[in-house]
Amino acid sequence: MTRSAVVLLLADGRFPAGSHAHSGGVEGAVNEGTLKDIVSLRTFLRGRLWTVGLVSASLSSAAWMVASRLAARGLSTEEEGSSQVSLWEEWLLLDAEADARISSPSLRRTSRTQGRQLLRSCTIAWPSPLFAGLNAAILNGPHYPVAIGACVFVVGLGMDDAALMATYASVSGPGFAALRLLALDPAQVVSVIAELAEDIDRVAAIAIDAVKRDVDQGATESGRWSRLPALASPWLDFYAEAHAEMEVRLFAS
Amino acid sequence: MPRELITELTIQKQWKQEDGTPNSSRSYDHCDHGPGNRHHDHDHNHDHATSLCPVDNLLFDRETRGWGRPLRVGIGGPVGSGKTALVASLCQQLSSELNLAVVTNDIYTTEDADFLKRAGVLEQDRIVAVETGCCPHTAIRDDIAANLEAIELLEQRFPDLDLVFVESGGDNLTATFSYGLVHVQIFVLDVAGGDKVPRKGGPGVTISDLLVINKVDLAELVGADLSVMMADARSKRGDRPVVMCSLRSTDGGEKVAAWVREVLEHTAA
Repeated sequence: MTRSAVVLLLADGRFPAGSHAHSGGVEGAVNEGTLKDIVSLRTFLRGRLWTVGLVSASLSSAAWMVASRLAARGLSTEEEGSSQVSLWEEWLLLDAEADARISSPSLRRTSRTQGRQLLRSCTIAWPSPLFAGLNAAILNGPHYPVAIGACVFVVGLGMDDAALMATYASVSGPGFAALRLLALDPAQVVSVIAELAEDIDRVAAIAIDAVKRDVDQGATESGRWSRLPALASPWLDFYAEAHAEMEVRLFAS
Repeated sequence: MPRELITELTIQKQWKQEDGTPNSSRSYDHCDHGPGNRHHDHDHNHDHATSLCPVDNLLFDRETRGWGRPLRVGIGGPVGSGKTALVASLCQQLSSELNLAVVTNDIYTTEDADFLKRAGVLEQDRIVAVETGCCPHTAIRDDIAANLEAIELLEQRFPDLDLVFVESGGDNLTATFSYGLVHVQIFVLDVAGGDKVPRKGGPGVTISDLLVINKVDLAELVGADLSVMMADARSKRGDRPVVMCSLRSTDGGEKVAAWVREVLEHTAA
């Protein structure tokens, strides 16, 4: 972990990256009646952390790794065309792995929306050719975890920060969305997340190990990242698709 | 007696009460004369050929607001004050002369969509709804990412857009738009909300570029004193313009549309 105010700034729920309007499936679950109180929220968040959180943290750590490799190779804009293509390919490969891990079409859209919106603020606060390269590589916006990894690298933080930010975001946003939708006691919501803190750290560590293993085993270019964790959360996919059809939505996802 | 005439008389009565108050006649120049008032008998000086709501008086900051096209106009205000009605009225009046679109942050039902559609001349693909995660003010002020994206989407669909209205979700008096999102903002209050509201102030009343006080036709019914509302609004807002109107009357939104046209002219490249 990096001791830096930048960690706090990026992880702050008030960081303007559009996340306040995403419930991570909470609105869908509330609407279906499966999420209705603080007890069911605890179960919901734990499940989300160990599936979405782990996949997301693995992808964001991998994105951090890609960013650091690209930075080491030099990102000068005068590079030859051919080399530029391979820079793009690095991002495209990882982004495709993210695509493959999100079954729900509306969640894939949501993930890219959040990725774009995070990059929007980070690009202004920390201008970098790396962001320009990422935006050029993935025209409709990188997946959210990919954007998290890239941003964490650009602001000068470590890979473990990228993993932790993704795992933490996988429960904090949904937790506070439940607070708004179910009128829960804020102190109880914080307690539930505090109880999960150890799990949040553990999931981040597992994600980093998975990324390091993938790199250590020298996966070929084409096979790179394919062995990252790929856990499914079918109920979240179901909630997301149902949510997208709701006539009145308070959250974007 | 037709309702429009009642409105006219009510408002003229208010004027007379205000006679002699410094600046008051000027404030009424910029606001509603009552629908159908073609030959008013009040005797303050104003030139009807000149602007209703002088844009020069806006505290425009050319440097920081980064004027461009499309012009982005925020429309905020409490629930039920008439934001959607104002958007509908403005679209109706301006869509024949301007290429325009709407981003709505309100809880957007097919009913709202139908309302805007019926109000006319705005096709569905010119309206984009943004979800605000139960925090309408966050989406227009603290974290404007989703709204910026919505505007960009409309710009892609309609590359020659002149004007985008960003309608906020109904919120309270403290909700304002970030100037990172809009170039100018209109705050809509209504008479039925009580005549004390302008006195409470809050950023919506104090810093908005145009304050619209809607539903003047209800003033008598709800016991609201329009002159008090106007005086309070002026004392909170200094030179910034205030429009009184009834959006339900046929020409209710005319003054606001005139103001928007002036802003467009004023900020033309």
